[in-house]
Amino acid sequence: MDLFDNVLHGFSVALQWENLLWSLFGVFMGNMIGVLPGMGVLAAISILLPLTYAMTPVAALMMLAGIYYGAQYGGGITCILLNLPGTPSHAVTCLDGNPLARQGKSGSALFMLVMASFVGASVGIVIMILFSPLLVEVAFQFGPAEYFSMMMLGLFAGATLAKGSAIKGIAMVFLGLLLGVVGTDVNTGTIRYGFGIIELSDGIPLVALAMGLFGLADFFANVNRIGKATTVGAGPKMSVRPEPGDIRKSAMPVARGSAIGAVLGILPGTGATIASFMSYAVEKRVSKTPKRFGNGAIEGVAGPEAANNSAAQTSFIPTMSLGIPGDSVMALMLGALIIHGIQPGPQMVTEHADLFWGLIASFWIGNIMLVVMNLPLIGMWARLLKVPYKYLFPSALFFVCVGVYSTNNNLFDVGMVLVLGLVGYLFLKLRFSPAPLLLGFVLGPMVEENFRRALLLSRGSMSVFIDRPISAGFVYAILALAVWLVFSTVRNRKKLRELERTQAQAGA
Amino acid sequence: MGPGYFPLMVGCFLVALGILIPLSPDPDEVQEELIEEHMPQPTRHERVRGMACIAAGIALFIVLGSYLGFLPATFALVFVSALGDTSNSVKSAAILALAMTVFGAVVFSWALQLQFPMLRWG
Repeated sequence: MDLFDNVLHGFSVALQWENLLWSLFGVFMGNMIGVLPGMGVLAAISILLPLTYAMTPVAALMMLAGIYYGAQYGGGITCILLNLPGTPSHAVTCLDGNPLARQGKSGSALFMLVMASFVGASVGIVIMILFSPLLVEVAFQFGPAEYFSMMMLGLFAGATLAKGSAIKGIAMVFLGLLLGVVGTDVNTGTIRYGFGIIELSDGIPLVALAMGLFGLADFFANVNRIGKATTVGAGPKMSVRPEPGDIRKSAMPVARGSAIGAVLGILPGTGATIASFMSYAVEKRVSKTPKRFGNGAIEGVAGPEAANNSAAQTSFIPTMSLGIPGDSVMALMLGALIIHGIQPGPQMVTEHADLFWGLIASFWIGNIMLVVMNLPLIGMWARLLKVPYKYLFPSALFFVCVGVYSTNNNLFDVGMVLVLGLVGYLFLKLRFSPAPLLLGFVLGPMVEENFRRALLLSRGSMSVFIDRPISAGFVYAILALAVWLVFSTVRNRKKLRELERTQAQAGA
Repeated sequence: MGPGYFPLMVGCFLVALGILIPLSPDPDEVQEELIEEHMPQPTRHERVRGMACIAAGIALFIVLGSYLGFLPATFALVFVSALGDTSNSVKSAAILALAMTVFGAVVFSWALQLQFPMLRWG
């Protein structure tokens, strides 16, 4: 069996000492960052990205991926103990997790959280093993026109289906594409948008952009805000023990959640967050006692947690096999691959089989490590929650500055982070989500290259994008999204007018 | 199809989207704003101080880093930015800054061999 051999080969790569250690380091950091309030996965990955320059690509990817799914475990813990979602995909877990903790059942809730996460992740990994090679086969049929249309669809879907206003999201994607253009043009050697600054001829470094928009902008927004109101009374002894019957009650929600997460993880734009919300809604609908939801129903913890971990794993499928990231974390992963000189896409699976199958195997090993780690360490995580923000952000700021400096060994990049951080804060205030921008930025150069190549082959005729059937399919899907967008805008305006009317009535 | 072709197209789309944004308000956003008003918010003074200190810290890191070296730059960055949080005293900020400087010297210059002179003059 070919597939079986590949998986075995993957494990032999993942179990090498160096890879195993970095993977462990990654999941540990991820878990910790998920628990620390006010630290996002994106900020963490971008801060640790410079650390990977000296590593082999395999170890680098394993560590970065470990941070991502490790944070999925950690984020749930803060929800249950503190009613404070560490990452947005855990917001639903708070709804039932925290009431359970207040009823003194935090041990049971935490146990189900860890187990549901593990099962969800395992389902996601199996789907990835089975599905990726199929997708690669299809992707080999693609030419530049198909790639361009597919990337545009991915960007559109990522922007419209994510949180917040869809039009603003699309605007951010285009802004990202434009920022990706900065630097020397590969085809002609012309420096674009350099403004005579030598440092800009290499383009904007991904690390500086990510740290500015996701690290610094968050510090600007959270300083003097976090840590004022949250005083935590975590229990003296944290034990992780399931209540009898909880496992039986949770089995079906975990299964459903894993399935929902697996599907939504593959689709671009929908990710862990939407998967967990959808799973919660489904569980509430199928439950015989929907009233228990919101007051401490274990199903409301198990389902969504399985869903978001399953989605966290399957979102690697399009990233790895097509080179199309579905969300901003995946965009950063892709950026890391490119920094290490590996061109993502279907060739990667065949040319860098070590990396691809090793990464999949490391997911499984990492998840097992997380389960083993979390069961005894819950008490430590609970104590970590008390690290005050006033010490956390200046220290993190130091890592940001040093990390960015070490990328190119120059201080100009640090200045760039400062500027991008201020811009990012403005985006936050004006409710422009920076995630689509990052997506556009990472895909930008690839989008442009495929666009130009397709037009070169067609001698400048735009019809190439709809003459080829696969590409046409993607273009029609984009059009369908656009129509839906117009429709929902009209509906939103109506809703808004109603909202204003009811408020006016309430005021009168 | 010169180097400006793609940016020009992207730019045109951006202009069109810019016109569309004010025409399409999002009801969720309005609701979010209402919720946020009830959350504890820092005062204007606190917010300005926090942001100014963080920005000044980074600016100092760049200036001191290029003239005096890594150690003074790190100390200034952590010290000034920590002062941005109103619950930090001068003493606690100084202790934190000192700790980070020592940590940075050990980890980055000794262990990771960062190309950044510890101390330099001019």
